[in-house]
Amino acid sequence: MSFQPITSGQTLSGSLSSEGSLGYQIQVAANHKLVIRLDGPDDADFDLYVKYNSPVTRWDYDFKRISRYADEELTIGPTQSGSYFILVYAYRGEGQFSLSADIVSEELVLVPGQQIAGAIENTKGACYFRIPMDAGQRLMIDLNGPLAADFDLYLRFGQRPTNVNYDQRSCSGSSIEKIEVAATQQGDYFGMVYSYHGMGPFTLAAGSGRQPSLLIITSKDNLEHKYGSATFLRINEKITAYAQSVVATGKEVLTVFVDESDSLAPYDLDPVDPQDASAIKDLLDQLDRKLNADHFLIVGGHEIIPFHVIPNPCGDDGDTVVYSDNPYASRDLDILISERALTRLPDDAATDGTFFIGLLDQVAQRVQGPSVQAFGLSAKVWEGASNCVYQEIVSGDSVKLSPPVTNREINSDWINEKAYYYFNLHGSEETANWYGQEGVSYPVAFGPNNLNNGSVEDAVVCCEACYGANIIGKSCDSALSLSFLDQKVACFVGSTKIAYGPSEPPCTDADLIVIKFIARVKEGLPFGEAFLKAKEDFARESISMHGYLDKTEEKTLLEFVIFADPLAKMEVHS
Amino acid sequence: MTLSIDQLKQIAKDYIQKDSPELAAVEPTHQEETRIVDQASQAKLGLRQPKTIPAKVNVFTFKKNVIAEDGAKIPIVTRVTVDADGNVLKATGN
Repeated sequence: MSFQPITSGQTLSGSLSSEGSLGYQIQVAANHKLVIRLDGPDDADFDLYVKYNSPVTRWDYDFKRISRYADEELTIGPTQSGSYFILVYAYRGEGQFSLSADIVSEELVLVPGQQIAGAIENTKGACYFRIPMDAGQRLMIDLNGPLAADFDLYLRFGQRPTNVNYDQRSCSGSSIEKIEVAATQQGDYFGMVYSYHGMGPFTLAAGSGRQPSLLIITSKDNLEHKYGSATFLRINEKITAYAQSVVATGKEVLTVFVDESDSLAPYDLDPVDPQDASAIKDLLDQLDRKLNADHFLIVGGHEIIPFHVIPNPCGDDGDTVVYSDNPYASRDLDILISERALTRLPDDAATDGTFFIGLLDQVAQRVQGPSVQAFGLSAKVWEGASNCVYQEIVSGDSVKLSPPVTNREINSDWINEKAYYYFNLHGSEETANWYGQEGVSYPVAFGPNNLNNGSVEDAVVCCEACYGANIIGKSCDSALSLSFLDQKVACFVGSTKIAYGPSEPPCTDADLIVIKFIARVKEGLPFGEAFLKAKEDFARESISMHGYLDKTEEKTLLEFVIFADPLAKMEVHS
Repeated sequence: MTLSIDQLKQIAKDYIQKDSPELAAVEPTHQEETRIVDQASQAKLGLRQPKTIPAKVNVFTFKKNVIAEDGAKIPIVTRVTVDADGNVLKATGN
């Protein structure tokens, strides 16, 4: 394929038949912004692919824009010095199009938590950038340039610095420079990377300098309203003790009450209505932008920090909505694929706080180390699919089946001191029990009583039963998920609503998400990160299987939640 | 070959008769799904594959409530996905 030259400000016309393509290339200097615009036929779908310094194809590219329309816009910046190769492809339909490219010489924008790459191409050359900041933040800027050069860093509030007019500078004699602002002003900081001598690429990173490993959010108003002041104080002590246990491991922790001014004042944020899940998500987004935490923990159940209530993608299965933590775990409006390692430690419906305080006590102790054994129980009708999942947990072993097994036959030896518990049974909104199935017989397979004399501490529990993680208005007697947590399991993964799975392999839906989670836990990832990556793995594999995420897969992504300390992980003694 | 909705429904019912006979007497509801990957999700997943050709599939949902041994009401749902040619692409239930 040949690539026709295009220059900044130029608009070229072309014509494509269906699945045809045309190539272009543009020369760009370093540290600019390149904007490429494609305007195609209204009834067609044209796409843009771009690659730096070598010919681009649909399979080998650095940037792409492939909406379902023929109008596309792609912005690249900061640019590197060289050629950008552009491919226009007619994915569907045909017709005339126009292509334009603009090289914009505006400064680079850097935000805390971000790293950008640039280059200086001659001695005494400079590259400018801007950092928008809120008041009272700590700002750290790190420059990392070529070993053979000497790049300097300048910073000035409100306007561009020069070599003589600046607020701060870092000139070490190398190309590794650092500037720190202890408390920022509200507004734009302007920076300059200046080549005292030499040339080459550099990276520039901005940070708040304060990056808590864990951000805990909860509601003071809701805790006080539900438990009363005295019990709230005890709960708060337990949250503090948990945070201290995390700090003792070398990590930073920040606890925020979403409805308390004092808690949010250091971040120049206002309290929000603790009943409003959307407002809490917005607050969490703002906190994340300022703090860039690695892990997130919601302390409390639906009454304390509400689940998001999402319309059910499978609208005709009887559930009108899905209770989900995915919006809290997502950095944007696309809630199917999350970016945050987020878990929840729920409370129960009781108002004495016994369960909740016990749970917080348990996670603060941070103990791990059960045996490697597992217990699996499945409805007989799902034997094939369940054993496929169970092989991921314990190779060579099989699940027990209900029927014949019922809750009356569960032997304590089967369930005591195991590392993993796997349940693929029916569930009900009405009771705590989980049920087997053979034909039209639905015996009680497992209930809270089966845990009465059990020893399930520090285990991982994965449950595919419908409503397995439904905790709204429930107590330990009426929700097995809470019963397991009361018995000090380390982690419970389950569904808030009707969950799906096949009767035979290949595994999809709930079966697949459990497989992916177990695999990530076995890699040694903390539970929060394992759950995050499991959902990504699930989405990728589902798309690879049939080309898209269907409605039950979307529902699976939304309805599966995790109750755990996000930093804890399975450390199995062999 | 493109089959009518009634013909596709019969294929789904035949499948249920064998796979989940307890739902054989249930009249399914019908939904169309478009096979498309949301662009935002695709970008987050880092997928570089060509776009899926938008094509519709038919989903038939068989649902009823049953009574368990202890008297609890349990929802029983199976969704059967069938393409326009009558191929059963997926069956999933609870």
